[in-house]
Amino acid sequence: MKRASALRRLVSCLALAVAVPLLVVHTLPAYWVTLSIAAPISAMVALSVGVITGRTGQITLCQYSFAAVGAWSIGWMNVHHVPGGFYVWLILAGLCAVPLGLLVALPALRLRGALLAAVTLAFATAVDGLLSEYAFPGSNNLQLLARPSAFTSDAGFFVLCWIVFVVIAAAVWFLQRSSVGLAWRAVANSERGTAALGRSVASAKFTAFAVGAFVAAIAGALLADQVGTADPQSFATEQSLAIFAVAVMFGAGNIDGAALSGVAGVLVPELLRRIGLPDDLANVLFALGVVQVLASGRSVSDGWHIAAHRRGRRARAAAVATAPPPSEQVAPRGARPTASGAPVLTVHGLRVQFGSVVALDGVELEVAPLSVHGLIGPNGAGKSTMVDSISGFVPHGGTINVAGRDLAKMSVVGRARAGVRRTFQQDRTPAELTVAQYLRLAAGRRISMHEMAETAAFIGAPAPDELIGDTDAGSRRLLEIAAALCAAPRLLLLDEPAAGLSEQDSLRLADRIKQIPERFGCSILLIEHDMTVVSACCTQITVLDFGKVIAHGPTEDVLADERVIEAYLGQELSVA
Amino acid sequence: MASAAISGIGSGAAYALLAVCLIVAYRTTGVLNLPAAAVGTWGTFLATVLHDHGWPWIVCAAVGVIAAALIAAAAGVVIARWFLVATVARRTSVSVAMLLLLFALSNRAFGDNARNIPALFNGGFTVAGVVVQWETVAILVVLILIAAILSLVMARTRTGLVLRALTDRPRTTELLGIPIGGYVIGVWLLTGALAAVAMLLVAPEFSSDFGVLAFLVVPAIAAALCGSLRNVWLAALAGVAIGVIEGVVSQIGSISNWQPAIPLIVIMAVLLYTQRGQLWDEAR
Repeated sequence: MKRASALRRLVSCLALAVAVPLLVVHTLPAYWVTLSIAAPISAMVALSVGVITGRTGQITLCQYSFAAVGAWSIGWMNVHHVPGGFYVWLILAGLCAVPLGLLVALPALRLRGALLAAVTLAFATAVDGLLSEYAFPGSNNLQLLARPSAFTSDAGFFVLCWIVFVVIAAAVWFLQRSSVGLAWRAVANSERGTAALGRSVASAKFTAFAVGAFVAAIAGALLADQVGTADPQSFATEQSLAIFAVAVMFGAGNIDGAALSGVAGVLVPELLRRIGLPDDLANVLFALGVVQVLASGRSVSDGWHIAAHRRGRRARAAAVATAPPPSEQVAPRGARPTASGAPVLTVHGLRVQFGSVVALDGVELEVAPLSVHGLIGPNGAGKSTMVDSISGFVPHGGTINVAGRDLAKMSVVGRARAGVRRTFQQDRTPAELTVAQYLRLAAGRRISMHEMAETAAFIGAPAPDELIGDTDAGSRRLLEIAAALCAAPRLLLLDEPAAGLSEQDSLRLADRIKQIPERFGCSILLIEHDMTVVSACCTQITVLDFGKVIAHGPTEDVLADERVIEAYLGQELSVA
Repeated sequence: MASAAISGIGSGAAYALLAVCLIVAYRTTGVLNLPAAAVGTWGTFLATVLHDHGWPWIVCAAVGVIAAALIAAAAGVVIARWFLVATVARRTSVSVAMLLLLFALSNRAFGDNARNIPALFNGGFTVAGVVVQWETVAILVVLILIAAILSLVMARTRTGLVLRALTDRPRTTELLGIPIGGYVIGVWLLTGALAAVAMLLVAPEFSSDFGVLAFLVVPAIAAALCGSLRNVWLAALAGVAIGVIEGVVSQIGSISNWQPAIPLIVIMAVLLYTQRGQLWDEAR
């Protein structure tokens, strides 16, 4: 069923890829054919904005500067007779921009949004200035770039640009569906969330900028090759601003959105000219359009994609409605061999300080293998700080050992990869991904559809083909737990998983949490305020108050401890 | 070299004034005011249009300042209405769109012809063999006045208190019963007027090209970042310093071609240094 629809899509994409150049070359008048050359080129630049801004959430205002680097490099290779010929030069020109893309991404590792816009804009104006100082190679002594011999006519050159666009679009499409591209979307959504999945935020940003610079530079090289030389005006900062607006407006992170951006960039100015208006009004329209899109929150093509996904999902749901529901009784996956009695987590002398406030002070904690260990305490006791320090988000003193490994020197990503997974109190799931994509990203390993569906069903998370944006807040929190389990962790840190769930759902979740250690072979440190959940699934409990451990031991003993009742549990116990 | 440095002070003071516009807008609305210089240039160019019709330049300049203030206020209305609690990326994108809009409309309104922009203050005086333009003195005086007034208003008045609250928690401030929309629009109006003053004073010396003038926002951003988008005095000093460095570099034959890259180098250096400790985005 699913395979058939994928095949249908592939065939229609291929048909489109062949039909477009045939139609353009054979039906359009020569004037329009020449004009059309710009469409695939600016579609590529729009796509590069789509990768960096649309997918990864990093604002880039210098894509035409990367294009200028591509144009300048291919011109230089032409003048200096670099061996290899046009096609090799084209790829080399793309590669020349990659180091600059990485350079611009360097400050992006630690900053985002507004400040990154500043860096990219400064890069664009710097390139502008440098282009006016250093003439395009060959422009002084008329050593012009030649079009490749197979594509010398305007129709031919359009076909060449179209082929390059299709190849790059296909490559980007596959990249976006790989774990690299899924990590881009996760970064756009939440950097903390991404790191907690064991995905490096830095490499996601670097790859996005590298791909974006490469694609833009290829487009720039083609732009130069079209006329044989390069006009600095076609790479001016204003062009980068305009393509940013167009790309955000049409959602150029999607391939069809990028294609649409390219077409709009050609068609809108030409149509304005035809109805007797100045063509530079096009940028006015794009600027107004992007403000509208930003205010409404969804680009043109994003709207289509979400609608298409919902239609597809309804169709699939109707087709499988008759099939029996998947069994909830899943065979245990078999516990991973752990050293029999040695604790999975050993925390010794843990100390965290925020300014003059000591949030955690000499905390000692041990979590036994294959157990659920409760961590309770009043608000502000330091429970979430504890999770943050074990998962590496806050610097801490003391030692944290997981399965015999000292975590002290490890980053958030390193700890997640070493088998320490956590959930957050706030939703950090990326709304644009499907459940399956998110689980695959979190797993960080090859994982079968069957296993993902099983894990999601076990926890009560939404089905794999659902779009996360379509699910409610409670389901997303369960989904975070399912995602952590897909990674087959050794230690799972759950930060108030039952908060916001109904009482019935909480009890069901408690029952599931209790089964996790046996079924998934991991231990759990559970922070929870709901005492019914805590007493239902924890075998051991540690109580924190003002950053210090005030009691620990088996659940019944601790809950009966007078100090604990006094500090925190008084009313809860009397109710229970 | 000395006269290049002195003339650098003039453009540097303009960067500094624009940097003040950026800081004020960023502090109150969290929007990087990318169109600041473009708004100021619009005011300046409108003034030249009136001047072409025979109005006295000082009157034209006043009208230009008012026009720029109104343009910026219109931007403020859009931000206050739709983007006050939007994500940083979205707010910044809106700022980009505004810059693009002013750019595209400037082609329509003013065409490609170079504009004749008269100086507000003509002539200069000579100190130790170096000519100092009166305009340079004027812009420095304006800069110091504005920075002083702003520091006083922010630190001592209720308006300053509201603006500081607005920076951190727009919605909370609104819930305290404060009409934040009005404050946002007022702040943007002020930045428009300030930017126009800066451009009117710097444009005669600098250029009459809309693009060149509008992108003076880049060295201004560099200056504002030197003040961590917070400290007006530090930013003002950095702005002047950047102007002087540019003036000096333009005189050194071997590296003068790289003058356009100076703001980028400053921005990269400042950001890599000041953000070295910061790793995670929002709080827990």
